[in-house]
Amino acid sequence: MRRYVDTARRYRWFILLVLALTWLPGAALAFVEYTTSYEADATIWTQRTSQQFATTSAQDPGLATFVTPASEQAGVLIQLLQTRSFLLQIVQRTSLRVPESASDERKFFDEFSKRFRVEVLGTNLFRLSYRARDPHTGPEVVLAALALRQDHLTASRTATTDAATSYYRSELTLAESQAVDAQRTLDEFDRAHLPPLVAADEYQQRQLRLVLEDAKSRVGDLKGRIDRSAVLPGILQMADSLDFQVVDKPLEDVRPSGGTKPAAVIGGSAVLAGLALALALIVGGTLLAGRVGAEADIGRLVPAALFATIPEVARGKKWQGRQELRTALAAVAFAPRAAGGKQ
Amino acid sequence: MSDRNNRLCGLFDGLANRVRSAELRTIGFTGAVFGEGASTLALGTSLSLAALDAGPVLLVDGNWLGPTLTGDAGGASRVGLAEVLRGEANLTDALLQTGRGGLAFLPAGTLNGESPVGAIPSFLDEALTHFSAIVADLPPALAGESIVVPWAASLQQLFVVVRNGVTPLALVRRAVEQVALEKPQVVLNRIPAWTPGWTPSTPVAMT
Repeated sequence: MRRYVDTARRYRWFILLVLALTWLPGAALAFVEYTTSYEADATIWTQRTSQQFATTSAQDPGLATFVTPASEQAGVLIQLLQTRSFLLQIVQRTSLRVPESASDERKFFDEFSKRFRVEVLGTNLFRLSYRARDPHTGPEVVLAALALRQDHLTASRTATTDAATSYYRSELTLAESQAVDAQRTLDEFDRAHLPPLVAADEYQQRQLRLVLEDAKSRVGDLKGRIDRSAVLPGILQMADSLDFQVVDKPLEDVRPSGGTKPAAVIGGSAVLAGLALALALIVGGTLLAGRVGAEADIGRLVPAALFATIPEVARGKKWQGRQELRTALAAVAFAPRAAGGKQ
Repeated sequence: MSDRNNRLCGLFDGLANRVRSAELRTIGFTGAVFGEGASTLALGTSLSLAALDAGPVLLVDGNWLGPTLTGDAGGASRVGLAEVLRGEANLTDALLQTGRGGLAFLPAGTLNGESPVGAIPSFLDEALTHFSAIVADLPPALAGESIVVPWAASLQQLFVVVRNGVTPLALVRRAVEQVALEKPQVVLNRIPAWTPGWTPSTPVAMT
């Protein structure tokens, strides 16, 4: 441990420099993040009964309950906020502009998506927040997101109603042709059988009139349904607005808000990075200092003293460094009479 | 000897001069672990000492754990230090002639059982009657403590060779403590950078 303390003391100025180079920019970035964050949020009341189930126990997946309306709506919103088309439509409803280049666009949407936050506050309440760089953009984006979500709901309801109306229209066409056929058959029968009618003809005439009445009644019923489906989108839109009510609208706040957490993350990361670098420096410095790397290091071997130094032989094309030195010395000493005789 | 070989031997001139000026007649080279360059330094220093013409020099391969010098000299099958220490051979009979005048080489010999290190002082005394300087190549201190410690006690100076930038400080410290040297001297090996034909501006050997 003492070795590490010694190393830290030896490199203290360098360590301080490293810490300064990491902490100061980190602190500056955190400060900028905090002072340029303006969070706007809206609280939404939703009461539509959910048809989704949520698992209540990780151990028993079969144990489930209905998802609360707020959880369901928040979940849907979170999913939509992951899609680029939804984000693009939000941007198009605001004063923001999408960058032109593809890579910038991807970065923009990644950053844009990260700035949203959806929190479930209770069974029916949830909150949508957006952290902007200025006080005006936040409320604009939140309102745009909520309006878009509402439009999505309406569009889906309208699409469903349109499908039903077109079905009824095709049924009406069929019913009308059946009514025309029944009328024609009855007319032909009346022309062919003038009164007084015998009992059998009278019975058949009643049957044909019954068919005609039935066809006319079906036509009337289908026309009624078509009329009702035409007013249904309006009714459903009204119901949706009741099911998805913005209780608290986003407000423009001139004071910075919502930037505490991101600023803390940036500042904390810088602190940790600085400490990690300093630690690595101390450990590395201690390990390197553990090897004799200079004449001065001999002083740490007290009572040993440095008697001499032998230089390194540089490697080159003809010189193979130490191995050649040893071979050359051996050649000088032993080569002429390696198997040598006695002196 | 070629110019190139002269330049190579010149690497050790500073060390040899310092040994000579310190009037060290019996020296040895060891390292903390294998690969520090102790054998190369022993060989180079003995060549440089012989080149000083201050008297005959004896290079002893005392590294029974890895007798590379004996291998270089082609003396693996010959009697050597082990036999001389056991009294099975005379010193003069065991010596190998070298290509450098004034330099003799004593191979490691063959160990039979325990190393006969108890006879080292008397061996050195006898060798000093024939040679002006004795250079011993010894095994690494941490691997061959039982060999190095008796040599350290008998030699005038044992050098611990440390490979620059490679040898862990802790190992060197352990090696110095293990051989229990009073005044341990370190030779720092492979200091960067030297190129052929380049003359160092500072003395090669320094304290």
